Amino acid sequence: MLRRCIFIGVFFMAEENWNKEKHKILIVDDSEMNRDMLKEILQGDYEIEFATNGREAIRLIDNKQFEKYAVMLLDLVMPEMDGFDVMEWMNGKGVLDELPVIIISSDNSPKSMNEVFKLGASDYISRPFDFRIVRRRVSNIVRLYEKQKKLVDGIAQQVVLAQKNKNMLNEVLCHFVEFRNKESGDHVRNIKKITQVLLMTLTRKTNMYNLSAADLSVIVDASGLHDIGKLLIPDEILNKPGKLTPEEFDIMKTHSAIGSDMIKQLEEYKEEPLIKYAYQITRWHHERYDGRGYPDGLKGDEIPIAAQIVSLADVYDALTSERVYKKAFSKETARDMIVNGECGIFNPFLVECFVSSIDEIDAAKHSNAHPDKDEFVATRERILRILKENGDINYEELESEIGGGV
Amino acid sequence: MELKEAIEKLGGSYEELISRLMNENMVRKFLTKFLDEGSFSELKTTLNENKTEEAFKAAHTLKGLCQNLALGTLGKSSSDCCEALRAGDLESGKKLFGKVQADYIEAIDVLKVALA
Repeated sequence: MLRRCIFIGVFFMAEENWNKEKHKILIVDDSEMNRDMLKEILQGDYEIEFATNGREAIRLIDNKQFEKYAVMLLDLVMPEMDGFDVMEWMNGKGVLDELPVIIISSDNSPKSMNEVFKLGASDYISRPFDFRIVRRRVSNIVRLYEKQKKLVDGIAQQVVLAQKNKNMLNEVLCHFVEFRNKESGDHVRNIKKITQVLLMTLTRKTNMYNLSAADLSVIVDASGLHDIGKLLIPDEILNKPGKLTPEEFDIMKTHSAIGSDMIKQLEEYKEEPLIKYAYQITRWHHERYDGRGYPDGLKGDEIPIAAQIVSLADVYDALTSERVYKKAFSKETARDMIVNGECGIFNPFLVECFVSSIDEIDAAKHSNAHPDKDEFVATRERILRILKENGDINYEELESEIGGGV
Repeated sequence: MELKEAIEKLGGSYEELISRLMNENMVRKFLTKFLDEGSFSELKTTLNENKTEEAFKAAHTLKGLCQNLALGTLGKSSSDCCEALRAGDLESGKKLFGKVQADYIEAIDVLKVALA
């Protein structure tokens, strides 16, 4: 499916846009006459810039300026800095993934050609120059890279779009609870932000929970569903202005089991990570490390780590937010209350992560940053990395990396 | 002297040259540029100053230009000189330069007449 979309959508787009504007070519050669000759060959089709040695070439392409050029024609033997050094520099900076290099060679032996390709060159032009062949070789490489660039951009756009739609649906769902529960405000969004920081801190400190990058993102999504069971709590209890009676509180407490039952009924998706984590989080986000939570009284690491994290995030956000019945506590007070066990006992290691990242948590809670921002750039880089690691496009890996839904 | 005759005299194929450069204007344009091109004098100077690396680069450029312009005889002698210098053999480079100089002078003389 993914494959078909790419080929139909992106390649046609590339063909159509071809010729719309002149691509820029960087010619790097110390001999003026060679530069003149190459200019003569290519100036009709391209805009031409020159560098007379390697150092000058690097100055022209450093700091992302390589994006201006469609291809670099590079002589090997040059003063100051030769073509080999330029290629090495480009390899080191990862520039060769985006700016193709055609080597201008005067030595046509197989040994020398192999050297050139080993350096990462896309092609070579050997002397004597044949004007038509030079033109064709350059245009082939330019078009190939143009297509790849469009392809990568197209996939990145699709991924970002799919991600955005998924996020939107997830938010709509998460906010159902908030629509009913009039006092929670930005609670769901805060939980997700705090959960994210706690997860990052935890995985920086240990890998004992075996959480992959994909797990982290799914747990953050699932955390927004933690109170979904409240949808079935009667309005007069959920939105009661005063303190709940013990009986009412018992009913309120059923929201975690109700939530997990709702999730469990999604039989078809039961193997999906999102559903697994959503089940753990809805059911056990009121458990405590010492076994004194509800609904099941799980103890220690019997409570899945995702649920442990969300319960800590839940408590912290409740403490630091204003409610009808209380003011917002400062982050310091909230931290001390959690450390002192005033809100129940949490995993000591998790508390350590929480304390060490309290400033980051506070900043995340109050930031208005949009999670989709920069997503396109990050996605694009991820795709380029996959292309680089595999040499060819590995569709299975690409699909698993960018997730389904494309 | 006709251009075709000149190229053949200097060890190249005119048909091949014109096919690569696409038309006679281009052939004239670049052969004319070659008359004032500096790599030969750069080679001579750097050899006199015993600068092997620089001399190698100059010989390399000269060789490349000859390849492009179908100047076969000068291309051959400058290539021999270039390879000696690439190997770091300055003495051989200087010895082989004698032939390069003779071929260069002939090429310039012949081309000047043909391009006039």
